[in-house]
Amino acid sequence: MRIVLTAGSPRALHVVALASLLARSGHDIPLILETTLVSLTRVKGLTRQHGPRSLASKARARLLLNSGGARGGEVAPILEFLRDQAIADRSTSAVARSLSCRHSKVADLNSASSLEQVRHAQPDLIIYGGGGLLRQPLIDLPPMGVLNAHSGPLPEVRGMNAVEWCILLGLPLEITVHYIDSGVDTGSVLLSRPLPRDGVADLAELRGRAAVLGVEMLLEVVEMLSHGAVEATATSSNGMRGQFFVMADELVSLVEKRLVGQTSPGRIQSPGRTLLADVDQAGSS
Amino acid sequence: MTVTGPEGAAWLRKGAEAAGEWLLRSITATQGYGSAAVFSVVPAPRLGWGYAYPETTGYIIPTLIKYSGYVSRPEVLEIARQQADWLLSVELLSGGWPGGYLRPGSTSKSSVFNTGQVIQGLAKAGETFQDHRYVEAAHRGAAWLAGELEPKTGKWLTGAYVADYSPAYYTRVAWPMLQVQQILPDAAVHAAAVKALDAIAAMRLPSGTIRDWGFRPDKPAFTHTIAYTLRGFYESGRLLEREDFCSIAEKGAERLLRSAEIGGGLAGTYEEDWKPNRRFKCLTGSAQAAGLWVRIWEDTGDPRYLSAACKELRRVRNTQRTGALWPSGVRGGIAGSRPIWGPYLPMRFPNWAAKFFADAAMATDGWLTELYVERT
Repeated sequence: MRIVLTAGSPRALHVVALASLLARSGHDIPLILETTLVSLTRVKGLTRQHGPRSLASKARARLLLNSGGARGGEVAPILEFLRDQAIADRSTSAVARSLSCRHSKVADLNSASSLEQVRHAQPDLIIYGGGGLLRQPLIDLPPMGVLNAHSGPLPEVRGMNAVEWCILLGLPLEITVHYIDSGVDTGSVLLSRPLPRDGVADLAELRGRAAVLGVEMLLEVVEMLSHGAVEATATSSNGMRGQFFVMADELVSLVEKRLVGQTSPGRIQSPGRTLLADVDQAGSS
Repeated sequence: MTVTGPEGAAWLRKGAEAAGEWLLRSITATQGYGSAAVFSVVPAPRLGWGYAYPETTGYIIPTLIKYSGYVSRPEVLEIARQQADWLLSVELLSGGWPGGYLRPGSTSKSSVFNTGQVIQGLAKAGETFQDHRYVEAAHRGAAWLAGELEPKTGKWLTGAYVADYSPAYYTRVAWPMLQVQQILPDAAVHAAAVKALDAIAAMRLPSGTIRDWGFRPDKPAFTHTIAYTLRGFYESGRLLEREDFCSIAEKGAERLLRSAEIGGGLAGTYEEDWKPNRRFKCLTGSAQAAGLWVRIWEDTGDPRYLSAACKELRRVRNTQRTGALWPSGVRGGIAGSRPIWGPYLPMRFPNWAAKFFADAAMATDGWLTELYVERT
């Protein structure tokens, strides 16, 4: 199968893992398409999404990639996975060199230049590894569609910070591989699997574990697709809440505390009638 | 057991306290006779603190009462009572309250919207201080409002900012009427409030916006008056147990939430198809929307609303100047617009922006603290 991968940064280690392991399984990776880290459009979009302060702190964390900061904790599980799989590359450009595939940087995955490169690569399938929202022309290009690993149950938790929202809402942690369509995480589901949280030290580690499980599940789905042994399930609008957005820092701190058991079931009465009862269960489990 | 607030949310408490202190200074500026409407950083119309504003002094009373408990300062309650006494002294013979700022020697007719906001404050003062004078005055105001409503159309066409214009944000007149009639039941007041709300609900457009929810017909509405309209519907719906009113408010609130999340914050105005104008922020409206989201979080438990409120309040808080060297009317105040020269109250710090920010920040801080309950 010819598979194009997208990436949101040069250090997208899950994309490195996917590219290496797909190639090892005999798939052809003609192109890794990566969005440039610094483009006006991207900075504007990210600033709107996260707010300037949160974005600055995320940028700082990224710069401290391997220095044990929050991002370091998030990266640790995928680094361990790369070591276990004997994958030496640590960047998208390095893995592209190793696989002799094209590595291209674009300002926007939906741009004319990006579309042209994907057309030229003639992929059967695209695996989304980050880089911003995809528009219909790109989604329609590969005959087998575009796959994504989402860090939450679908259709219940669509959108950003799915792991965090699941913890806050007391929903089971799950990774879901699904097709990308024109909506936000509304495409048909191919595979879902629980994300274990036992023994996790913090939220960053849990997010890292989610990335590893996402890689493993995407590889599994690609194998099933190549043997025609998988059926997609259309997501039902039943249970679909609205879209979830970037969680406020104040609630992320709360999720962090609940995750490591520093808060016990509270005495919250008013909003507790519906959702916080669930949150309390999550906090005590 | 100890209850600790989230370490990362100290900015909310600091912001609420700075706004609360600003409100107290706005009252000192008038020697205690009402809260000065604005602090202006330009000479036109008047440099510095403005004249007292009965309308907003009314709805600042519940804020002061809450603030007194929030900062454990009982003397603030006395200031709230003093404002209620002042409002009694400026009540008009009609039973209503005047529109506009109270300049020395000024005379004014009763205003529908302003009376609505005053009676809300008096009703709260009556409950808090167990003083029947406030409740009776609030009832006189509510009865005047009921009498002024056009029985056929459910509109108020007198006592308006703009002649013959009955805006949708009059839902925030119906809500205080319902609050008052809960304390002193009056079938005529109840019926008039419901009639007004039904008439406004009929103005809802297919997009979910509501016709005439701005200060002027056929102009995009400031987030301020949109939030007024939605909050009026929401609270009235809760009091009347009318799901249709709550639903209008919730759908509008969700639309605003999406706009804030996708657009990096709320816009200054919205057109009837929700097209935003992001060249400025109406900071009052942002604080009001955050307050509405917190209310919806309280009732539904949907944490997206609490999250959105935190983020929008932080955007407003980021504009608040708290350094000791700032002038007394700037320090802790919230400007009409960001940038400060934006179209909503340019170069001025209105007392209602500080009020709505303090309300929303105190409520959000309270809920975050509840969520962070720790047992030791």
